[in-house]
Amino acid sequence: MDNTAKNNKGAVPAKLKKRSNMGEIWHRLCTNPVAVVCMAYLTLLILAIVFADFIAPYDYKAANLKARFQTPSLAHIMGTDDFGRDLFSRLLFGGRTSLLVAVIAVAIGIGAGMVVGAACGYFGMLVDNLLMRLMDIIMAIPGMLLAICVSVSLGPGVVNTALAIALGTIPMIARQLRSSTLLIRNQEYIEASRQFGAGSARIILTHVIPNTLAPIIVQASLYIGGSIMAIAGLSFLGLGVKPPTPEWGNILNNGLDYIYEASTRWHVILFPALIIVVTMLAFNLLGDNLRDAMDPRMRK
Amino acid sequence: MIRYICRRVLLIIPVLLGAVIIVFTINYFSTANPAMIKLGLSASDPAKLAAMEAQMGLDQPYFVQLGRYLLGLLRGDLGQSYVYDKTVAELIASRIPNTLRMSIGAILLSIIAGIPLGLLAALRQNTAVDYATTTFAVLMNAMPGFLVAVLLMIIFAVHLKWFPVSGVDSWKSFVLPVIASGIGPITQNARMTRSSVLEVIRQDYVRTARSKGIEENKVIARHILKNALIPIITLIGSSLGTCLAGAILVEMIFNIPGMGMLINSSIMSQDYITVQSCVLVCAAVVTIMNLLTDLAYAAVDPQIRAQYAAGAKKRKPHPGAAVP
Repeated sequence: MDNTAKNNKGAVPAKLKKRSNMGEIWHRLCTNPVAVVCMAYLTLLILAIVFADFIAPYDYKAANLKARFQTPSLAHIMGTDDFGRDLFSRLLFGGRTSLLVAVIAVAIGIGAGMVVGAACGYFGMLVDNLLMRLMDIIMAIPGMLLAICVSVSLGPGVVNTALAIALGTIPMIARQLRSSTLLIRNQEYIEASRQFGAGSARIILTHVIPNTLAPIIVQASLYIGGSIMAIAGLSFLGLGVKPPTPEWGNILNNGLDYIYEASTRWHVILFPALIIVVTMLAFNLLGDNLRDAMDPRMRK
Repeated sequence: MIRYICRRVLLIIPVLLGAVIIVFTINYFSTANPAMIKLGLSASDPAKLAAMEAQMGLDQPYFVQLGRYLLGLLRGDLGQSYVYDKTVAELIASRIPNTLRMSIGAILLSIIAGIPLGLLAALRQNTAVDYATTTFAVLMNAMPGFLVAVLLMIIFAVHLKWFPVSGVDSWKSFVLPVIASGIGPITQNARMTRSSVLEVIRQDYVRTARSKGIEENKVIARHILKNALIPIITLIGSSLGTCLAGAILVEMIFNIPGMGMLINSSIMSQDYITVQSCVLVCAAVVTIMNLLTDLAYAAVDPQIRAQYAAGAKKRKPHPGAAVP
């Protein structure tokens, strides 16, 4: 969000309004207990994942076949998995993969969606028609199926999985950006910039995108939640990031193999499931609350 | 109106063609070599491999391959499975009924469960019912679909033994899969109905209706629901895509021989032509469903109807533009 505020410097008339708008949104978020809890959890999670090397009590790869399926204890706070690896350490490093893929996917989706949407809204006519029809076509293929198709074609790996998931989000972002570009296309500051001889690319980059970015950045939270879910789904099918690289989806999937022995091996299912659900919940609730905070109709 | 219908039907053709080209292209750049998969172990012989590649047309340029595939599609030929001794069309035809049964069941469930739930939550806003519904919806939205399916199976099939664990022997086998794939759409419908009803309930015409002394039930049915349900139509249409995609995981868990299982087993056996065709069939089903939704929308929403009745000069609104 800092970035948005910085970029807004280009658009002088919008600057003051946007700044105060952002401040207002931030204030409303900080007074909302749900949003505060979500932000606190996510900050904690991200810190834990970044500093996983120092926090993780064990090597996440170190197998110990003598200590398979140990239930949680002081030595292994979340127990051990089918190879006797420490589950807590694996979840920490798995979070690194999951969040990395999700963030890359959302970044690709937003980046490409932004360019397409801004170009459509700004140029209109032929460009708009061609690109939006292309987006319609991509939207006709259910997102998960498209991700499967791309994932099968590109093979496993962090970037490939991110690409597979990103492709489906491009049209949604493009559409949203297109409609907000249409709204600001005829504003005076764009007209003024054109009078000064700025080219289309310059206007799009310095005026259109910064002024339409805020709602998209805010929704990124929802997209990240969705991506984490999609990654887990791909892992369940044996696509996406493959073991032995830990990833929340494949750790959970691995645990689900032992569901019939759940009475003694419950921890290999419960903890991965819990961390996925809680993280998804945090991203979704934060996204919902951000959207509400940005909605002018909700302003008192 | 007829003009609108014709236009929407014709618009399907470029969308489907585009979907075929995109999926074909994604598959074309695949790292796997179909000839190698088809030959299996004997692929180590370069002469045999080259012969197989020539036979499958893999040595042809991209556009020739694409053209052949498109021509085949026009004749209803989806290609030959790399692994099974069957055409892909046969494979899909034998599997699709189960998937459609499940997905349609899930959509019906999402309508009969989701809409009343959302309505109830909106009418009793800020009460326990409202909070329970909202919490349920938010929680379910955060659960990966396969986790819900596995939990349902463990609780109701393995422990309580109310329903069979797997297979498609009777209607009972479909109960859990339908619930599992319907849970996403149910929560979406409930949330959307709730916010839509809350918006309508504050309109002047609702107050007018009440002040005229119309019974509350009639106000809800005629004035609130009728207007609030318009945006839900789009959502119901788009949930078919979600269900079809979710079917892959659900069918795998409940061992239902449908499209999802076919996609999954084809991924495992590297039968990528089957995966490609399954995705295309799903895209076609979704596109047709979107068309029906748009038509239903136009039939229900007087604003859209009027737009096309009064000379079609106005630019057509973007399909789905009404979706927030």
